[in-house]
Amino acid sequence: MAEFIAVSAINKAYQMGEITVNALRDMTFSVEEGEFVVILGPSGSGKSTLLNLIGGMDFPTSGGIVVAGKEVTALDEKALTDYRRHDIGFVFQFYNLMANLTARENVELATQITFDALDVDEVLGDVALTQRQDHFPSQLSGGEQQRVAIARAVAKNPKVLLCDEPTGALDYATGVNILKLLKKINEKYHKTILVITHNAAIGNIGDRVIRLRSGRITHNEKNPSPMDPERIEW
Amino acid sequence: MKILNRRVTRVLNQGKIQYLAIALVIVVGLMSYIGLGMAVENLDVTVRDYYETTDFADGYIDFGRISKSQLGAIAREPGIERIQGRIRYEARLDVDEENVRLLMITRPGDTGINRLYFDGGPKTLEKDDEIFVLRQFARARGLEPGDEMPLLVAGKAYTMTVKNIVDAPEFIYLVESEQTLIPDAGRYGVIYVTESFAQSALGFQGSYNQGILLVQDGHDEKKVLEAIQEDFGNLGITGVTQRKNQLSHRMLTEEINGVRTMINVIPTIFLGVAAIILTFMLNRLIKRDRTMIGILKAIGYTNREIIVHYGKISLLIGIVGAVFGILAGFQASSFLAGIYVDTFFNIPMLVTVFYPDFALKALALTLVFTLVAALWSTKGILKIHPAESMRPRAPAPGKKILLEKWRGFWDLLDFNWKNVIRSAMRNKRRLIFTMVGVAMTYAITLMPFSMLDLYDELFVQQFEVFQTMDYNVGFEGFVSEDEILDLEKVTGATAIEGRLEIPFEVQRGSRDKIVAMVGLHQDTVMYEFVTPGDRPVELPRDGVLITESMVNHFGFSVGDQIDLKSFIPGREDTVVTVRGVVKQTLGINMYADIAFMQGELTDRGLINGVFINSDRPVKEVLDDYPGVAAIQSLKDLRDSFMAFMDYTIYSVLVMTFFAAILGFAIVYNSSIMTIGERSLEFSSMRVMGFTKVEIFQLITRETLIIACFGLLLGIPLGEGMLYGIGATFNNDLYTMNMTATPLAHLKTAGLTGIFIALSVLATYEKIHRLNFIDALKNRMT
Repeated sequence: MAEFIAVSAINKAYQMGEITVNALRDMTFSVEEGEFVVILGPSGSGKSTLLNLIGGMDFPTSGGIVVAGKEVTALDEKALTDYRRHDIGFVFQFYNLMANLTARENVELATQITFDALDVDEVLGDVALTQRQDHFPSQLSGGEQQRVAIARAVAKNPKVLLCDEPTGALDYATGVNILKLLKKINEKYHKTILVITHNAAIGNIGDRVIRLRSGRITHNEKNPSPMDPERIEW
Repeated sequence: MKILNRRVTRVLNQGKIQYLAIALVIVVGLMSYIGLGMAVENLDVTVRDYYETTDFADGYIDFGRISKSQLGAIAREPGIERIQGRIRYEARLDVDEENVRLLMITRPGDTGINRLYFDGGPKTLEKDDEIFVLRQFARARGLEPGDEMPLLVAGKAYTMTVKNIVDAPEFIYLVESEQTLIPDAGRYGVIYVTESFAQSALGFQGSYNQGILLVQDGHDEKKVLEAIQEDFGNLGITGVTQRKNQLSHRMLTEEINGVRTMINVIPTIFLGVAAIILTFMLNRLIKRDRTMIGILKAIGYTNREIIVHYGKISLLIGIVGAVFGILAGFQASSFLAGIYVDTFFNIPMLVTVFYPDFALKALALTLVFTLVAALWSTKGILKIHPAESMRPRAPAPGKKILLEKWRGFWDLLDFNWKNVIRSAMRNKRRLIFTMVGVAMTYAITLMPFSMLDLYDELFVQQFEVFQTMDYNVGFEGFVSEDEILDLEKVTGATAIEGRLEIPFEVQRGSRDKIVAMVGLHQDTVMYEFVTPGDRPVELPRDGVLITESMVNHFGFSVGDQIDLKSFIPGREDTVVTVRGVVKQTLGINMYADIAFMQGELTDRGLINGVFINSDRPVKEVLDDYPGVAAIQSLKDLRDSFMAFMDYTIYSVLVMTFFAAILGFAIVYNSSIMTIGERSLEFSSMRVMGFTKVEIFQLITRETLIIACFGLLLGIPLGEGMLYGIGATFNNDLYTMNMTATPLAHLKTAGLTGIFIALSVLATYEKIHRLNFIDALKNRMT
């Protein structure tokens, strides 16, 4: 299959207060369209930085990234915004919902700025939140909030869904439900999904598993038999 | 509705007290601007209409006596549209234990100049014992048509019947003289009598003592009056007054001009403060929403869309404030215009014109200020990088504050105080914002307190320090100084001095004015001359001392020559040298040695008034004294001043209320910002075992430290604003030394402290309700 995401010789260094952090070092890999990729690594391995670069939220120090034929690293600020608007959906560890918007409104917030959005009701149905759609984030459990975040990311109908520790703040059962949901979306909408996590067990559900350590890839291989999320344990 | 718009309404709803406080600052600013502005414009229009309706005179010429035919000759002078003779005389109300002066004027005809305004009732005087009474006087003394009034005219008693109550354009503001300043309608009034009564009572058969005139369109009243003085000087002209110098008209004009200047400053102050609060508040909101803004950017929202989203908050607050401010302003304008025409001045009509310009200007100004606030505060959005915003913020660089270098002091403080002082000093923007806010509150509160003190100072300085006589008695003409001996006996005077007071027309460049020169004895005990810098000044043997107001009006300085145009028949114009400048808070005058004046301007040994110090009721004693035209009691002036102060207290309350709103809005918002910005820090403290009260104390101490600096900054700011007001309002009627007294500062500091305390207390509820544990757990915005 053709490369859908191509990451070539990426380096990223940034300042954290008075310290320079070399987050990514000479990283190269590719992802095929419709793949469910799990990127594994401990804290500080560069997972989130990598996701931010693919998502067009940050610029690499050197190297290039191509997503769906678009050279992301060559895009200017305006084009990057456009790229994030139409091509990328984000899911964050801490959900990052708008506190003063209801679940439905949080989803609509994303659909209002795209041309080809999915039906909000259908997406809310997919994440099993039809009954809770008028609740504010503070009235929802962590798992429900994460489902809203997924719905918000999916409803835009992006080409790629980037999930940063989507189960990191959830208990085991809720985490498994979220993973099942991501799998379901991957299958139903044929979306390319990149999940980053420090939880090695989650690697078992991916079509491809990439392991990172200290900003470098230590392992990158296809998983011939991805497991059902219900069967994994941590 | 767009989802982000929905968020705007919810953000506004969440911080409603904060936002309402800002909107209220805008409301107050616009209400004052539109209320006062439209009231003054309506006052101006009303007065013009009133003047037109009543043919208000363009000029006044005083004579010793002038016949009808002589007046007819003047009427033929080029530029004169009409001239009308009348008799003006100061009579007295014939009542015991009171000296009530009544300006008696012959009634103008129905089409005459300065004609009367009737609010119903009879318009003619059919008998000689009938009079019309000016409304202010009638109101003050409870007079009604049909009442009888005992009158003393030229020492003779008459009983007159009030035929009707009237209004007159020349007495919109009724004061006896420039130095009286405050109306005392119960003691000084105006009555209108028939010409035949005045002529027979005063022996003015077929003649008048004043001509009032209208000038033809296109002619300059000043030039016309000068030509009359030139051509008819031999007719015994004793004084000439242009309309612009007519006392009532001048007071009105001063008020209108003063308010017009002031209203341009008011909205700038209030909108400026509102914009500053908005900027800080939005900054804080954006800082708090940093991650959320990153998410919006990650989703694909553009910078412009996000800036517009936050900008709408600022604009909406501005629009709400403007709408209510404009509506309140319109309401206030009718109320204030009513006060102007009924209470402050006396105008029997009110022309209400709606000025949409005020509303448009107010709205435009508000939009400009709130837009600037929006743009200024949202520029930080551009700097938020979506990826960075997801990462925890790097801790702010910590360094020692300046105070910590002062070890002796620093070591004395306990941990909490050190923490409080560090926090107060480290957030420079908030420090400046709160300091300036408190300083503004202090300055605005200082103004009304100082005004009260200044009015007090104005009168104390004039009537207790500068002039020390109990009574100022004016004669009908010049008399021999020997008259003093008799008066001394009659009044039981502990001190008595003859004085000479002669009006002159003074001209310099384009400025001209009638100024009274007062002649005093070298050893006078009735005046205490000091320079504006409070150094004693001796009365010069020759030349004159001039008042500060004369310096302000003409720009004279010591050594200058002043050309004096005399109104005394047969006297040549003369020149005097300025020998010194003296402090005088009310009126405009020149002072000279009486001997110098007698030698240069009148005959030796002549005076036209006396100053008396006496414990006896001199007014009653001199009631029937022949040749006495006017008796001014300094005690009466003080009494009327006290009554005026009672009235002034309301405006003080309004100003203080405005200051309170401002102070509350600033301090409350600042405290709320602290709570918002440091919720994580406070949460950690809660986890460590700090109580809510302890955290409240922390914020309170921090706010109080900043407020103390604000109070200190408020002192020069307040003094500066007072100086500005002084520069705007000082004129030749009064000269205010606009410096606040220590007591005014003390009162202001106390009251500002109360405003601050109230604002801080209001934040307690916010702290009490804040879920510190949630703040630790949750990263939702």
